[in-house]
Amino acid sequence: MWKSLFSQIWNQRRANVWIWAELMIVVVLLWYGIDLVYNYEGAACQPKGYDTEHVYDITVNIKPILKHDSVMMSRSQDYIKQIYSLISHYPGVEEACYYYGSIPYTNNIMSEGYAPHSDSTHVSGCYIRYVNSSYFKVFRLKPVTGKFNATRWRASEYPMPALMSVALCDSIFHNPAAIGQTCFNPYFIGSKSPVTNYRVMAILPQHKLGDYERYEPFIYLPLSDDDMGWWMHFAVRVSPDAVSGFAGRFLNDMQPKLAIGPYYLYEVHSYSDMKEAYDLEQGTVNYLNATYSILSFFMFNVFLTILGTFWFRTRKRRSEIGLRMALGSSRRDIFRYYVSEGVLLLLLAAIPAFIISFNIRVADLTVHTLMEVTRGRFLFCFIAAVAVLALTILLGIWFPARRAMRIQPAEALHED
Amino acid sequence: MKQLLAQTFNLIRQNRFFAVVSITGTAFTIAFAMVVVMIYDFRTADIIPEGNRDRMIYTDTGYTQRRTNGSNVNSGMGRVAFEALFNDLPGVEEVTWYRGISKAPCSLPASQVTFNYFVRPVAANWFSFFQYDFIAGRPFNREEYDARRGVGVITERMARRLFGTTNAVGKEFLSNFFPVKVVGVVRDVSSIFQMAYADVFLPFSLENEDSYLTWTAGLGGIRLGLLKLLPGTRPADVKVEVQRRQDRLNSTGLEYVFEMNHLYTHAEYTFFRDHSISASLVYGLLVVVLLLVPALSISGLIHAQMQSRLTEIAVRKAYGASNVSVVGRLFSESLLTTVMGGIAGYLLSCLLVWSGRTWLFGTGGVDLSGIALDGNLLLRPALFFAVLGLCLVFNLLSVGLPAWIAVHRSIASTLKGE
Repeated sequence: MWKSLFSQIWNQRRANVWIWAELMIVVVLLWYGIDLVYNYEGAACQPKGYDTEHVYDITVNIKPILKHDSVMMSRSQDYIKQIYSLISHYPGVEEACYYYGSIPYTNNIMSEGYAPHSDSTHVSGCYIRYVNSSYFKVFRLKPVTGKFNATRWRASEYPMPALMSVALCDSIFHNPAAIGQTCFNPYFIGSKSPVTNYRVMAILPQHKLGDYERYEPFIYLPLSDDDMGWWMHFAVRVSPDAVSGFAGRFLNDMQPKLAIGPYYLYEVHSYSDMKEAYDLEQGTVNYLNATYSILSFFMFNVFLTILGTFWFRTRKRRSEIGLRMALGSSRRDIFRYYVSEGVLLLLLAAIPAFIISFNIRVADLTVHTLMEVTRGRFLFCFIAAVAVLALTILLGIWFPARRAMRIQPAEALHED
Repeated sequence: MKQLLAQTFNLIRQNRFFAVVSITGTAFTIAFAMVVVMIYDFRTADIIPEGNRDRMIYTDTGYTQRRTNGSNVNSGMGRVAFEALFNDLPGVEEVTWYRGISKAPCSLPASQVTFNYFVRPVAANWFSFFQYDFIAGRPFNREEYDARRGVGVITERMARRLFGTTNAVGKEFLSNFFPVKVVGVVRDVSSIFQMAYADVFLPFSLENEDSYLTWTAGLGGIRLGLLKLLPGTRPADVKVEVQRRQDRLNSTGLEYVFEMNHLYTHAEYTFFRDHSISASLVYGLLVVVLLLVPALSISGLIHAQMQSRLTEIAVRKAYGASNVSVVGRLFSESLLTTVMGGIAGYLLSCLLVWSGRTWLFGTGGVDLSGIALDGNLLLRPALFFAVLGLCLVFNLLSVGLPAWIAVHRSIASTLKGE
């Protein structure tokens, strides 16, 4: 059967060369597109390290005119504590916390460096968040090693407790589970509080700031009362039945209530809205959507070509098919013959496409900002491209093949 | 002509399936190419209120640093640096300045309810630099600007939300808790206009720019500049002159020096502020790829269909038709289907751009609900010419090769039925 397929394709080379050329180009383009999507979606599939579902971000700000009112500003901490208490008692709020530093899904990034006491030259940089103890409940963060002790999570402890991501712990202490070990911040030596001493309380899983990002080393430190202010973000976990319309409701009810002292309620956003806005802002959505639509456009083109070409072929081959049937081919054989012809064409096109794609990969023209270039990734993406095209071809051949199946051999032969 | 049309319609009727396939294929092709063309066009063409984009030059933030050791680097341009660099530049029609757009809480007096709006502090000539459509009131003027009056121009949308009416001239509101009197209301500006867009325009003089980076003696600050060149001025010449003035400014012996890293043309500012790839090249390549692959597939179909017309072509040639006239005929026949597909594709592209507007235009810190694409934008005459041009090119690509192959077959062998 394969031999006769080959000779048939060869005999029809004039018509087939168009499809073959198109398939070859499309395989390469499709592979490139899938590879690009893999870079982003592959990274997005890896867990972020903390859970932001049903979590809302609440920010307050200071009225600029009152910024210089020293009497009012001296009571600023009391006001902010009052605000925190009002927020945590709002109906629907399961758990509230406050923090500042690196904020997820924003460009607000804060970083520090730490070194073990044994070697002050060995400094590891990392993202930092100053958080209160309920932060870990709101964001559902569970240590992979060690235990989190909420009562000792205070900035006044000595040494100050710290939670680290696996990567940071490993890079400072050369040990991914260095519970109880201490380190310090060499950049603070010239500052007002030169002596710093942090003890690892527990180790957290790998962390990243957004979905479409690489893992980064991370540290959490307790937020001291002196550091409470308008720069903090409040985060609340909302019970699932209160999620719908929460932001609007909160804004409506709380705007008058939270206008305390110099403060006013600035914004309420769910983290999922923040993610959407951030991905858009970073251009990720744009890349992905453009890739998806261009890929589907090419697939639609392939579908049309295959559909059209095989439709003509069926008309031209009526007598041939009639003869085959007369000689004992079943209708199913005819269908199978058609499909094999299409798939064989695709495989013939995939060979040069493979060579071209491989060269593109070797020339380092693929996008690999988030996921490494590996042989597995290349093969996976290439096979996926060929498989997707095979499905498209199947779909395109389906209708002409069904038409061919329905040919009455007697009539077809009679016409000739 | 009449005969041509009659024959083409007959052909379409006889090969309904082929017609449907090729028109759909063409429609999708034109649609996708048009989406690319539209994005490029909306971002770069001269469209009111940004009616002079081709003549605009955008400044970067610039930065100041201590002359002696390059320390204390701060980004931002102050009044002194701005005036030294950009006042009375040869070849420049108008210069204006602004501060970057920011979200600020706006409210009515005696109300705790605030809305966040995009505020842009601008110079007094901002409203003659861009072409805004005032539906009530007027721009703030030079006197109000110099006297630092709390006056502002707001958009129709904001007037409706805040006051419930577009006739808001003379009414007061609080912008970032500072009282502002409305002097003018402008028609909404789509946020695809990166510069002209904002909900509130306030005098830049309210920003108190002299209090920023006081130690740099006015070199550092918060200003961003915009230049409108005289027609025919080359951006490169302006850049050279600005560089010359900057060198002169920095040779005066002040403690700090000012550096303007970049001056951008509109296309550079829009697409590749920190890359070195040419935007037109990228978009051009995209259009080519989007046209070539489908052209290949449609020409495959035309080639297959052509087989049934070889006899007709041979007969025509036997009666003396030249290759050129036969190819021209095939070309104009298929042009009709291409144009039909082109029109459908154009409508489709409008739909695609409109429904995908958030992710197509939603970068750069804009209000997503402010991305409006109305008929004025989608039905621009330039776009019709683009469609027509694309149809011609696509037709040429898809019919060219099959027609050439068809007419170069030997007449005798075709007529004999070989």
